[in-house]
Amino acid sequence: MSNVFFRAEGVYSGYGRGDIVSDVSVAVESGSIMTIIGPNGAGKSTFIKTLAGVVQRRVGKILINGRDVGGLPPSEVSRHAIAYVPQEHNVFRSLSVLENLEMGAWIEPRKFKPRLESVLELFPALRKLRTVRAGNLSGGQRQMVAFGMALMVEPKLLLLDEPSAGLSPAMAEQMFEAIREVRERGIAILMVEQNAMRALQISNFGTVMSAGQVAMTGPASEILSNREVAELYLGTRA
Amino acid sequence: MMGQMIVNGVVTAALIAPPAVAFSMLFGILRFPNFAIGGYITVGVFTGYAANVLFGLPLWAASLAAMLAGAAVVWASDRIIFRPMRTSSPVTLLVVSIALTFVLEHTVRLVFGADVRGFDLPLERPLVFGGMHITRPQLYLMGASLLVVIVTHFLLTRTRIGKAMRAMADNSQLAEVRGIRSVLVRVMVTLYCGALLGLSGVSAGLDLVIEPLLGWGLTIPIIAAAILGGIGSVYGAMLGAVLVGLAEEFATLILPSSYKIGVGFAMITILLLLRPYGLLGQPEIKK
Repeated sequence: MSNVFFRAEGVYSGYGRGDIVSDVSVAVESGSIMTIIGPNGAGKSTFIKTLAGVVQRRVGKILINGRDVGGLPPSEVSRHAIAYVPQEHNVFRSLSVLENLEMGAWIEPRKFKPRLESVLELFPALRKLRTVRAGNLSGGQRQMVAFGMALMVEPKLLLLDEPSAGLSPAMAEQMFEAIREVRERGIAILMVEQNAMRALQISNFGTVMSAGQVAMTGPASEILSNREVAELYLGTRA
Repeated sequence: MMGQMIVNGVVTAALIAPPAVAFSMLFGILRFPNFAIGGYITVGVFTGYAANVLFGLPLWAASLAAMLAGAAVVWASDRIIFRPMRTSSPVTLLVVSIALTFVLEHTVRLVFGADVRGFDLPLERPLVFGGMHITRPQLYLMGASLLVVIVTHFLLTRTRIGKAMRAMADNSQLAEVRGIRSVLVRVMVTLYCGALLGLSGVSAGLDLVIEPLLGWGLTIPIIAAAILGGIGSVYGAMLGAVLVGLAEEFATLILPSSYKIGVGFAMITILLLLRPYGLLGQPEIKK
C-alpha cells in the first residue's frame, strides 16, 4: 500500500478483564475503502469502537498522519479528522435533523453552512426533513442523518459500523452508493459490514477478522475470490 | 372562589416550575435524581435574605446574589462529590444527594439559626382583580418564573451550548463522538441549574416563610412536577408544575390544606402506574 495515512498497529482492547481484540493491525490509504468482515463475535465492532476512542485501547498504536490518538477520549479523537458512525443509537432522537447536523459540525461551527449544503447534496431526501425530529424518521432516513452528521467535519477517515444494518435492500444500496461517493470526495472509509459481498465489491481493501484477530488482509478483489472466505462469509463458492 | 384557587395554583406552579426545570436538566446530564435541590434552594433563599435584609440590597440584587450562590454551590457539589462518583449507581448518588441536602440545610441553620424570617419588603395590601387577590411578591415570582421559562427555551433551542445540552442528555456517547466535551456541558448545566435553584429560593421566600427546611418541603412537589412531565423533559417539567400547582390547590376542596403535600405523592404514584415515562417523556431505550 502506498499513501497510507492511518494505521492501527498491534491493537488490543475489550471490556472487563478479557481482550476481545488481540493484536490487530490495519492500514488505510487516503481516498480508499477498507471493509472488515467476519463472523459475529469476531471483534469487528469492538475494534472500530476502539479506533473511535469509545472502547479504550489497552496495547498498540492508533496512528493518524503519524500521531498516536489511541487512549484519547472520543471527543478528542474526533478532533483528529476521524468521524465514527455507530451502528445503533447514531442520531439524537429528540433533536431535529438540522440540529443533528449542527451537532455534527460542533468542532467547526463556522463551516456549518457550506458543509450542510454538501451533505444535503449527498442526501437530498434530508432537505425536506430538516425540521423533523430524528426520532420520528424511518431507519433509512436516520442512517442518512447519522452519516451526514459524521460528514459535517469533513473527516479524513470515516469509521462506519454496519452502515446497511436493518435497512431495506433498496435503502442499503443507496447507502453503499453514498459511501462510494464519499470516497470520490477523497475521504478514506473503514467499515465493518455484515453484507460482506456488497461491501467488498465497492472496497479497495478487505480484512477478515476471526476470534478477535486478523485472519486475512489484502485487496478486496483477492478477498472476494478467496475460496475459503467465499464459503464462510460470502455465502458463495468461488 | 374558583378564580382565587386558580390564581393560587398558578402561583404554586410558578414557584415550582423553575426548580422542576433545573431538576429535569440536571437529571438529563448527571443521570440520577438529585434530591439535593432542596438544599440548593435553601442556600439560595438565605443568600437572598442576607443580601436583602442584612446588606439592604433591593430584591432584584438579592435575587442575583442568590443565583450566583446557587450556581457556585451546585457546581462545587458536582465537582467535589458527584463527578468523582460518576461511575456509581444512580441509587448511590440519590442517597448521597439526600445526605447533601441535610448537610446544606443544617449548615444554613448553624449560621442563621432556626428562626423563621422574611424579606424586608414594604407591607402592602394585595392587589384585587375581579375579586381575586394577589400580592406584589407573588407577581414578582410569577414574572421571574415566566422569564425563566422564556430564557430556558431560548437557551435550549437557539444557542449552540443549549443544543449541546439537549444532545448530551439525549445520547451522551454520541455527543462525545461528535466532539462535544461532556465536562464543558456538565459545567454549563450545573451553573445554569444552580442559578435557577438560587432564584427559586428567593421566589419561595417571597411566598412562604424563610427557614432552613424550606427547600426540603418543596422537594416533593418539584420532583412530582418533573416526573409528571417526563423526567429529563424540560417542557414536561413546566407542564408538570402547572398540573401539580393546580392539583394541590383544588385538593383543598376536599382535603385539609395540610394534606396538600400528599397530592404530589399521589400524582407520582398514579402516573408511574399509568405512564412511567411521564406526559412528555420518552420511553427509555435499553442500549
